[in-house]
Amino acid sequence: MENYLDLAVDLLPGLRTSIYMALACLAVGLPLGFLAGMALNSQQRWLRIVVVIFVEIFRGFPALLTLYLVYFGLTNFLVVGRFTSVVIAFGLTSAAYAAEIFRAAIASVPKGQLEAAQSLAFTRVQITTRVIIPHVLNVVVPPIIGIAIITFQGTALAYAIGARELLGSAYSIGMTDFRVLEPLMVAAALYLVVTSLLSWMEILADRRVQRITGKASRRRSGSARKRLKGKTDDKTSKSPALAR
Amino acid sequence: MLDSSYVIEGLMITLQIWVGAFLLSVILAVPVAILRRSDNLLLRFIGGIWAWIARGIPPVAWLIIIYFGLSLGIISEVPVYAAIVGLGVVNSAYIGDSIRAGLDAVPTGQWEGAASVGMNLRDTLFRVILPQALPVMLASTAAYSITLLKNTAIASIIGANEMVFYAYNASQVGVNPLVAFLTIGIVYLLFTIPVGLFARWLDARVMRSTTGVAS
Amino acid sequence: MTVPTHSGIALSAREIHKSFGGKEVLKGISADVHKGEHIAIIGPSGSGKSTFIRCLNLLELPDAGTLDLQGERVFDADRRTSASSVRALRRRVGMVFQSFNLFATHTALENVALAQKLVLGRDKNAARKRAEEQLERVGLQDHMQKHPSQLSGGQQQRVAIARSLAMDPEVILFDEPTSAIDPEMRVEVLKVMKELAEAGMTMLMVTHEIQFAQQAADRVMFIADGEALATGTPQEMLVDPPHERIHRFVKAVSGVV
Repeated sequence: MENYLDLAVDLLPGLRTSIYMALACLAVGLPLGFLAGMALNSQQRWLRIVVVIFVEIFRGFPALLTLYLVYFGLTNFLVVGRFTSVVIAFGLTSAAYAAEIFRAAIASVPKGQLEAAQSLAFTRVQITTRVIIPHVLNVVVPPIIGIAIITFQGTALAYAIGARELLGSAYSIGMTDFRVLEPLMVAAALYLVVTSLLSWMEILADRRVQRITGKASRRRSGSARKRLKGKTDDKTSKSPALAR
Repeated sequence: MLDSSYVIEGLMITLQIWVGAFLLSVILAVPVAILRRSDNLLLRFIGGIWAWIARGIPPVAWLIIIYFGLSLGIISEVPVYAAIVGLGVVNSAYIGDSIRAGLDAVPTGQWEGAASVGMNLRDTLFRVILPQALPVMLASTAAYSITLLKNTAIASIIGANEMVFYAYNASQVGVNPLVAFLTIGIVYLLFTIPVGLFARWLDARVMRSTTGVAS
Repeated sequence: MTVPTHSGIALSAREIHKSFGGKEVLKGISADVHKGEHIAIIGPSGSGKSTFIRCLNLLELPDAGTLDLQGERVFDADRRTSASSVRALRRRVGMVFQSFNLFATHTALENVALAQKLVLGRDKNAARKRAEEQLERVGLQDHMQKHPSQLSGGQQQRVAIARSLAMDPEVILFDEPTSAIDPEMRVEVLKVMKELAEAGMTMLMVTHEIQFAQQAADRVMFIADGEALATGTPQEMLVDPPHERIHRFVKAVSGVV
């Protein structure tokens, strides 16, 4: 038992690196995803096409492949370090996922609320800042935490390019005395802890959205029956798999 | 250039892992879904723990633990098998969710209606419930199988000679890495985009039909 | 009921036409609403009555026709309509929707105060004070800090009425304000509307509540197939309808229940 605790302590720097990596990816990916989501709702056809191509590519490529493309491929033009490569690759990947979430959130503003704002003589800018953005910020939190989970777990792929994040440091600790299993198990437990914390936050955020909008969210499969009754639900995907 | 025979050879392994892990995950997911829908608290707890652990650990960590760590004899010595087991375990949690969502989407009235005319469990399930639940299950299962396909790339890390593995090796022996990785990237898109379109089409159809029943 | 003695015309709509995808929904409807007058618009579903009332707020832009507020031309389909002139009209004409359309992310109080601040430029305290007054007026003084999802349909609709009132509109349009509310909650909304009518508010309401129209309206307008078939006092229109068509409608709507 003591041995495992020692291992956990030894792995903390790796865990910290993983968390920093994930945060940096999200810091790149979320703003980019928001812009892409706006573009997907835009009237400009060419803009939508460009963004759809971006989204389809980065959602269609395996994350590992994107990471290799950046880490090995960009050396044609410039030298990028491991951490930077991870941030570029997974920042773009998370942006592609977030784009779809923001697009759906913007499209899910109930039409009636937009009409009410119009009937009260709001300007376009006022409608955006006072009705659309508050709505988006509300409904978007749970799926964004979902992206955070995927991104955090995705940082484990950085092991493949030799980064010393959580998985990488577990492996190298294991290699020093050729007992790989224990540090790997402890690393897995640490991943499990962080993922569980995030999942718990996701559930809380989801409840908050339901409380405010009075709608059953689509994210938890258990609410399928409620969904059947919720006829007024927006026309976004009902499957959580598609939202990811 | 990346040799096309290598791409095809790699693709075959990729598909093997994809299909193998998918089948395994379905086999594992049925008991998981049954456990998680059980009335017994303990059984529900066990099903929940399975899904929690399967999902809470990154797929790449699963593969490495299974391949390097666990001495499971045959499984650990063949990277393709290790990948199938690891990805199958991870995916089982998601497929379990699909099955649960599909069953939940069928209104309780359907069970009660079947019971009221004296149908047995088997007929109720196969004649009444599953025909309605299946489209819902299929839509999310299709979406999850895209994630599964992309995750097969991880198998290259433990040495399975699938597409990424070949591209990686080619890039180490002089092929421009951009060319090598973009080539197989396009191959992935040839699968992920059609399956994604299919999933979205199915999802839209399910949405229409279920909302029609609702009122 | 006596013939209304009203001073001047608050809202005048002339020959309003509107088509959707080639289908003519409004075939030239005109209406004059006098100051302090209450007009009920009735008619079968799909007759165009909702579209007509939405045209008066320019939520639908009429294809042809004009709108005057207090004798001043505020819309003419033959002339270019600017976004600011649309807003200028909406500032003076209130709207209450069938599905309330409260801002879900704002509390009841914020719902009523927001437009006052943004559109009328009232300062925070003045808007808040006015919002509290109006919420009290509709009987919701105990629910001001709640979000719409925490309120019943009847309560939400009363917030929506308060939101409209707080803007000091010259006319308020009601688009089937009780249709989306459970029957037992309708009374509280109708009571508020009746109080408004008695206080002299100019109101134009699309409604299915024949009994309410009889009590609260000065005039009743019957719309069918995009045309105003007849307009008259509730007595003329509802008790002894001038047309067979209206007779059948009134019987169907009020008779069964």
